[in-house]
Amino acid sequence: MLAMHMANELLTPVVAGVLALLAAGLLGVACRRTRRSLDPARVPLMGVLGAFVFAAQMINFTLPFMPGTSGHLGGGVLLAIVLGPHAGTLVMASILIVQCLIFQDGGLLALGANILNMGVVPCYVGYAVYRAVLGHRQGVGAARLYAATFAASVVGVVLGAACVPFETAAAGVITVPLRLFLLTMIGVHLLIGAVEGLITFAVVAYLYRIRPDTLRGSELLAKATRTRVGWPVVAGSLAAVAMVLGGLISHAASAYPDGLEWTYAERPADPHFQPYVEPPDESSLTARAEAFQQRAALLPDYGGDDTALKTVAGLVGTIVTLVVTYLIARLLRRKTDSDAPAPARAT
Amino acid sequence: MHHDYLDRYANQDSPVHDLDARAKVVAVLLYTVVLVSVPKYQLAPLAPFAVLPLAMLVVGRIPLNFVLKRVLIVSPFVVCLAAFNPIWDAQLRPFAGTWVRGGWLVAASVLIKFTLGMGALIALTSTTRFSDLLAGLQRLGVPRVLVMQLGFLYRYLFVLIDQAMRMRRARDARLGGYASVTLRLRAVGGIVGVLLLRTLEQAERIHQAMQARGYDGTVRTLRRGCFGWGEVLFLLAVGVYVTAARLSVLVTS
Amino acid sequence: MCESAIQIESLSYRYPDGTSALRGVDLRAEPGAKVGLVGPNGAGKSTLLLCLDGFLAARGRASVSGLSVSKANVKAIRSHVGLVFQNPDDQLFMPRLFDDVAFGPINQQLDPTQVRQRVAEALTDVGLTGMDDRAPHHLSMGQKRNAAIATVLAMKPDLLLLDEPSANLDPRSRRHLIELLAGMSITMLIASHDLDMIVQLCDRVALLDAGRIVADGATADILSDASLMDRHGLEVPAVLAPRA
Repeated sequence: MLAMHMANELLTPVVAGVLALLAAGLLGVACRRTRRSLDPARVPLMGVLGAFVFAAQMINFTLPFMPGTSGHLGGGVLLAIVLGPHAGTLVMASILIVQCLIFQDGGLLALGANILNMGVVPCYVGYAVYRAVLGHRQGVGAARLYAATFAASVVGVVLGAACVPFETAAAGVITVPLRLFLLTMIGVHLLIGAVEGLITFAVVAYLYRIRPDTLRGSELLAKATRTRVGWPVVAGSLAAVAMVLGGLISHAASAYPDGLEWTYAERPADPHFQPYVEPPDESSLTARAEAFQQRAALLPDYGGDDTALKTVAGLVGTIVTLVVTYLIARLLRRKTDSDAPAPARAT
Repeated sequence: MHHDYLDRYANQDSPVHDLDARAKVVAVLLYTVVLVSVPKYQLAPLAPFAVLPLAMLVVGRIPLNFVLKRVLIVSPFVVCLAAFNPIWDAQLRPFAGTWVRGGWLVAASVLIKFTLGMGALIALTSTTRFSDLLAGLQRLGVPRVLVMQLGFLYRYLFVLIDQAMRMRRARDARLGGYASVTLRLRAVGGIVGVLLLRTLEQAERIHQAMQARGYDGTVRTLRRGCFGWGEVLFLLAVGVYVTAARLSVLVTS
Repeated sequence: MCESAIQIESLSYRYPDGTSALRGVDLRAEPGAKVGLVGPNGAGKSTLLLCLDGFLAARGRASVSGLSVSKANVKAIRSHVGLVFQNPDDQLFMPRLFDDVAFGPINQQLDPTQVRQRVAEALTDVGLTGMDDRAPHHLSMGQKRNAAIATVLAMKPDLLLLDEPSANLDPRSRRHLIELLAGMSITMLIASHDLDMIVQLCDRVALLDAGRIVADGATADILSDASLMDRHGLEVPAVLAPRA
């Protein structure tokens, strides 16, 4: 769906370097653990599974209630469920490297960050949640398998996305307030994660029926007589996501007024700091921009003193912009469809 | 087979194409690090940074509108973040004789760096055959196992995408008109599931083919690439250039 | 004085789930001979080839190029025996054709000059000179098939085992393949449904059905025996069909 790969410019070389070292270290660990459980000679073949993920991302699922948009698999959680978290992370890392080099999704310097956010976190966290919900007792049925897969996807995707605001804040280039950025990323990725959960389970259900031995934790699974999960369970999971999302939005709206004061409080020691005043010259760039905003904005109080409304506007505006830029990107991609399949995305 | 878009420009001939992959990788990496290190409120020093990507792209005969299109496609997230930055970075700073919110400067800086950085990356990858790029990365110290893994990914990318497209077309042909959400979801699950099982089986067969040709787990490769005076000169030139460009920050601040 | 290129005595193999794939197979092939291996689907042709290359632990005795097929000899066997798999995509797994053809010689631990020489020779033998830098996914099916054979030839084997080499080839590529194989003097065991090709290439043919060799002899005799063919799910190839 949306290309949430980080670009170089959201980080500084130092932060990017630290994250890259961290990613490299964790990949080393993942590689060692993979060689223990899998014949070391087979490790390079993980690359073929990377190609599988790209191919799987071509199989789109048209979303209900949103004509013209479709979702597809990200892949991290599915890989963890089938290969285990260590091998899954290795495969995701190679996918992200190829996405950067061949499709320019994500910057060179941000590779370390992207591998952490979209490889290490979804695979390890997702797997942990999957095994936790699956439990330790025999006789796991379709409903619990669904819950495990769905929860793993949502939590894995959301936590991975949640790393981005922290990394950006540590770098300090873009100064969107941490809490707002975090809330927005989590909110959007709750939706993305829910779709990921549905699609991942569709695949897991197929494997459960045909080749249950390919799934981790298969020793706990009951024989697959029915892989249909009742509507109540699915609706319940979606409702849970919706509630969390709703909670986040209302929290942002009500708790936020303090946020702006907080960002200002960070800066008192800056010798060049000037408190925000009306620009000295009516004809200056800022003044003209402000005037335009007043006339063009849907929420005319945007430039005013009402900080609470400002932050809600910020939140709503962010979401609207994300949707608009996504649609523009899709339009552009349709035009290039004739020369190439759409660049694959690991969300 | 429409797979040539990937290597479309990589097989052309040009002085840039002829450079050893290692030199290009080191140059682009160095350039990117220095570019990103330019302080976020400085816009003027970014101008000289346009030289490297433009030079590589023009000499490498890569069409600029191809580059711009790719940059545009991957830009939404960055554009969005940059566009909202001015709300919070409200402190006024001097720019071109007037006062502007710092956030606008950062937004411009981010977008310019993004475009230039992407331009350099595209210059690297479209003037280098992927297998040469991998060989170069290996000689630069990337672990062999990872390089081999990337090689397999690249090699089988199209085999699997082809399979997926065929299955998708077959599905689309059958799911004409309205189909329930559940049915559509099960179709996706089934196709991806089949793809996965087939991939696992194919990986086994590939492993057999490798073993039949003597593979015992140790990755062995031939050294490739030649790093000659051309490469040395290129790297020296790039080194001098990025240092000068970066130092220009001190001059203009 | 010449050792048989292939010597198999009472070879039997069972799958892990217990089903018998090969039941007491006997087969011999002299150096330089081209032997066809025919039979219906599921007869065990591919299994037999895999056994000969040391992939499956079978009972009985088998030796290839004078080496007895056993776990200890696997490395040596694979240096002497070239197995060409059914699907060239499984066999061309490197990003560059040169690397694929060089893979075998490199694993034989030859030095770089020798490796390059072997690659050049192998590519010339199959008619793909100068294609080193191509990526395998840019090759046509016929070229891929030849490339797969080149990857094996580069190891300079004494014996070639081919599994359905003419599958999925268009008529022209198929003809080129037959000419290529006909021109080689290496001992060959060719498993195939393409009976017309077998007639053109092989003097001898072994008919395998349900894990047993039910006929072994001159190609023309066996393949023109209509009732034998019919009993084992095959048909007399057009080339040998009696003129009405």
